Amino acid sequence: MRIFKLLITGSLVLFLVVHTSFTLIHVLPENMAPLSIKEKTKNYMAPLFDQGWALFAPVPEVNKKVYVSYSADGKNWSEWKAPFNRYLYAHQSFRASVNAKIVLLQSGALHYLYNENEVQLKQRKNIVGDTSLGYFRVLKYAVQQELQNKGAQVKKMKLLVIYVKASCSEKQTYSIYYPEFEAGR
Amino acid sequence: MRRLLFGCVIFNFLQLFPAIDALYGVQNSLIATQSLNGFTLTTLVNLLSVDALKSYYMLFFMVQLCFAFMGMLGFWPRVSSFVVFFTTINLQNRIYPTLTGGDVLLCLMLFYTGFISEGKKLQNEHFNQVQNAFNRIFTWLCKIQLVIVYAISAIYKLQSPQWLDGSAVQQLLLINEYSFPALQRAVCAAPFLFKLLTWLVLLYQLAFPLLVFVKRVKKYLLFSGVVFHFFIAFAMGLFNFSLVMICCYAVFYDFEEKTALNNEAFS
Repeated sequence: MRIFKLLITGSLVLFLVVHTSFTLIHVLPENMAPLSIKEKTKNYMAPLFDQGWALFAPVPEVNKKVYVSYSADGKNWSEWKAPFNRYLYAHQSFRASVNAKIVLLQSGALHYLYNENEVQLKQRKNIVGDTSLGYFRVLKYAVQQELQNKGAQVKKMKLLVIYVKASCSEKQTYSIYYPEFEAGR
Repeated sequence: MRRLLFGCVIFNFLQLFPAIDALYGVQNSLIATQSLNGFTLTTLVNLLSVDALKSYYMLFFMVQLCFAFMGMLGFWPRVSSFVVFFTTINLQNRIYPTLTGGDVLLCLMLFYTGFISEGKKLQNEHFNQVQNAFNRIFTWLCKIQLVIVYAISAIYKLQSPQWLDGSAVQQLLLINEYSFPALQRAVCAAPFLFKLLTWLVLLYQLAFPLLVFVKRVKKYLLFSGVVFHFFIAFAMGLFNFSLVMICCYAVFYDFEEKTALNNEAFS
């Protein structure tokens, strides 16, 4: 019985050491834990223990909004609307509400879209977007579904994403324009 | 801490309920399901992306709430932790683009607490000692996890020019999702105050991994953390994240004082 208990203790301590080590390797920045080593821990960490603690480092640098114009027949287009504005205002008024989730959804998609296009945006300020990129598809899905949930018939859409540098002094604006594309999943 | 985590889970449901269809509804969700390959562990924690199970999100919520309440009342605490962990991770993964660090931490802590008893002594002394060993190791895992959050966050911040030069909090509070108009005006009017706040945040995160184990300083440190997280909740709008972090602070008190573990795992 004593040996059995020692085995259990030993196993638990080993688990503690291994799990902590793998977690640290997984969450450390790439300059401290190379990608090749991180790859080895990925199978263990995902999907139960996946985590990241960068927490606003680097700090986001732009405010972002998405505007949509849509058409039910491909010919007549609506005016430009900002479909997620109301969620932001509601979230700013009451912090504990579910609006936070929807704000994070669109904010996250727009944030990563900015990162994907950052170099081009800083060079050219206004660009035409690539509809094949992953975060565009997340955004497109959310916008289209939001319009349909509000009763709109959506056959085609155009998206305009505006980024404004978050600064007390300078107000640099960037934009990504997605010309007419088919709605649909 | 376990009961507080169950409280977070119950709060989360109440918070999500008004927009449950927009987040989870088969026809109306704003979030596409994830594509899955075969029956793997990934599939097991993304069951609500499986076509046949997409519409069963309310069942997951009901099971989650039932076991959260049972756990809060002290029935089957470890089983409750596991069931709540399993349902929570599935529900969270369905709405993956909306997740924050608080959601991730909640799941991790629910998993670890699944191995921690409430401290009731078992009749069989051998099993009691095994139980104690599990309690100790997984309590340590909870503490280590929280220390990792602050330590890694501090490391990333030390590599960020905005955190080092003091402009990070000011820049962050100019982002509409993490602020509100009155605060944004104040940020531009009093930049030095927010520089100070930036350095205080950095100092707190650097100090936490060490000072939280110093008994004389612990309560002041954790109190500062509660204040810090209140600011994050109400000023920056990361309410759920702050709630979970504050609840997790209980791990530095709960298991030491309430469960009265033996000093030796085995006699």
